[in-house]
Amino acid sequence: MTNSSSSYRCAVISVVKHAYVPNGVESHPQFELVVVADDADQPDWVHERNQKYADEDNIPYVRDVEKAIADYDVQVGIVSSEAERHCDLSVRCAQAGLHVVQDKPMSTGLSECDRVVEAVTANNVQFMMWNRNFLPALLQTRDAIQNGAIGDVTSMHVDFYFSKDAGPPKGSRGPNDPPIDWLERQKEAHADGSDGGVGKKAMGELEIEGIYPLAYIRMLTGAEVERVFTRAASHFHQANVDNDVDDLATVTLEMENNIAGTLCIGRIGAASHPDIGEIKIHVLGTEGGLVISEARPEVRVYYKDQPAKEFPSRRVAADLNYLLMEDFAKSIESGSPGVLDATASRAICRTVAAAIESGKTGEVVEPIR
Amino acid sequence: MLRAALIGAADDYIALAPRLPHLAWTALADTDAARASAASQQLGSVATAASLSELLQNHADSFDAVVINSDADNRATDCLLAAKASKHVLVKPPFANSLDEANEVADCCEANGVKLMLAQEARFLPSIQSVRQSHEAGQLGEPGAVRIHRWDTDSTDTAAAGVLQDIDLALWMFGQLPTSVYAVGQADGYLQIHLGFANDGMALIDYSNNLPSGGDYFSLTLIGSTGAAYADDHHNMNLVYAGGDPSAIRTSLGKVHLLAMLEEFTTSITESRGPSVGAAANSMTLKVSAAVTESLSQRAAIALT
Repeated sequence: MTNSSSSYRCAVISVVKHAYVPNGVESHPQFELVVVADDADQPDWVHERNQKYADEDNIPYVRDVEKAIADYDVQVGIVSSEAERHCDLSVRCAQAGLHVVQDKPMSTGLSECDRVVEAVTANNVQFMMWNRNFLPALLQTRDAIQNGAIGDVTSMHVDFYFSKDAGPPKGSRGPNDPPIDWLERQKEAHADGSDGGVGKKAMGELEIEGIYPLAYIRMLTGAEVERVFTRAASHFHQANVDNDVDDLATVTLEMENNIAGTLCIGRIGAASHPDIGEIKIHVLGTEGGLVISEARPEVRVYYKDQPAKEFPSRRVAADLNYLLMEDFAKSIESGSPGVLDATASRAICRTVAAAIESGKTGEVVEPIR
Repeated sequence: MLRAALIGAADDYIALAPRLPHLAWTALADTDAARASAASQQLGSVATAASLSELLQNHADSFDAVVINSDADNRATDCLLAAKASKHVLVKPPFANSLDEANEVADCCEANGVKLMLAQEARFLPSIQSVRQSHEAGQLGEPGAVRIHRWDTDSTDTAAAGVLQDIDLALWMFGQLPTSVYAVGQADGYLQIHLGFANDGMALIDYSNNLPSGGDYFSLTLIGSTGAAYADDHHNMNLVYAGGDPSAIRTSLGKVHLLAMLEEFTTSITESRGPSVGAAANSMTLKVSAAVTESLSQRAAIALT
């Protein structure tokens, strides 16, 4: 436990997506949401969502980020904006002396990530990219490896398939139909929570969700990625086809210490899995292997008139939100990096960028250091 | 009724004898005398020899086909001997050290009017057959990704040889050669292969032959445009409680895949058609295998045309 006397007032700096990040933050008793803030020049739909969240949480919404930070005595900024604004808002928070919890992806541009690393370092604040590393199955995997159950890790493989649909299927666009506008599609997707790629710049699954499985690999191997080779395709959804971004990708990873790895990632359609999707981790070591289902522990529930979109398998005992924020609180108090700090997040972002480049060129790419 | 000779280790095949309505084991040849003796006792009165060459010399009239399960180094020679004696061939892969050698065997079989089928057991496993049936029925749509994990234990094959069956499975699912091949290997029996196909399809194969003694592991996932299939040992584990943490035991798929494979071999002969796993499939697999070797050497993606 951290010192219970330490509590942190938090500003939600834009909350245009599904609100799992600020909701996750406030699940920990040391973190209190006190204000929602955003820039005044944002479009109406952004203000509407910010206002809605503020109303639901019974806190004020201020259309001036710096003023909100100054007026509400906050110590933590929670950034959950469109992806292309993530880093700029995080930098402004850090420059104001706030610790930062940021939604994924870190950014749509590597140079923006560099700005965050510099800002949190210069201002001596902590940064955490939201992640899933403390799900029960991940912790079990980490413990098994640390306890020597399979010896030294030699290769690691993650399947990270989300089965939600993402608008009209590939091939559904008529000859006179305009291409699907990425932002408008993402705004529509807000209703069912599949708007992880919200923003003006179109992003593929590799860019939107890649941080999750790559963060698993990073935590479990402790190794940097040195080379990548990618195959990527728009295989399922018309929005991805129209915007030339992947919804299915496979990546070969070559890491430090001669550790090999692979990643399969995609938004494969609701018909392809009864639940959220097949998410698995395979680890080979010098003394054995691990096969892990990320969803476990889970309970299956079936009943008459069950809605078609309801997952029959329910994840249980996941204490992810609390554990992430407990880690972040410790990080703030110790001044030491937590589970996924700015430098680690930037490293993952560069791996993603290299993987996307490889997918377009068909060549092996060495991520930029 | 097809009369067939067993060449090499034969235990699994002999046990199936009562369940083979269209095939009879009428001869056997094995360089391992003890094993041959045991097999002979099980089969009863069959022609027996220490080698295929000897069997052909003394008992050529007693069989119409051979099932070659001999040591890898002898398989190509055995295939050529059998084909030249007009015996149909079912051979365990790998049966050749190069594409040229494989082509020589295929050409010899064709020239002598006999069938050549690879004993590609993995294709006939009930789990893989189920995936394939859904794929062929169009339930899964256009294949997008195939993901295979195979962790062998106590394997005598090299990683390059052990992974051939998985290359075959990936190519079978896509029905074509890949356009690009990238491979990463490790010294101690580990290989991962990344294939790209012309229709934007992709496959990843993770192969290891250095798992500690005990159970092995296999899974194949096919992600299609309208569905997905997951054939995963992990889904078929039961638990044993005997103190401490429970241990997992995999539900066996049995040996019915061998029956299905032998039935296909027999039927391809009686129907005078090409077997489902013939020389062309083998040639494709070996081309990819050669590209894997080249990729490992160059540390680059290899384009296949």
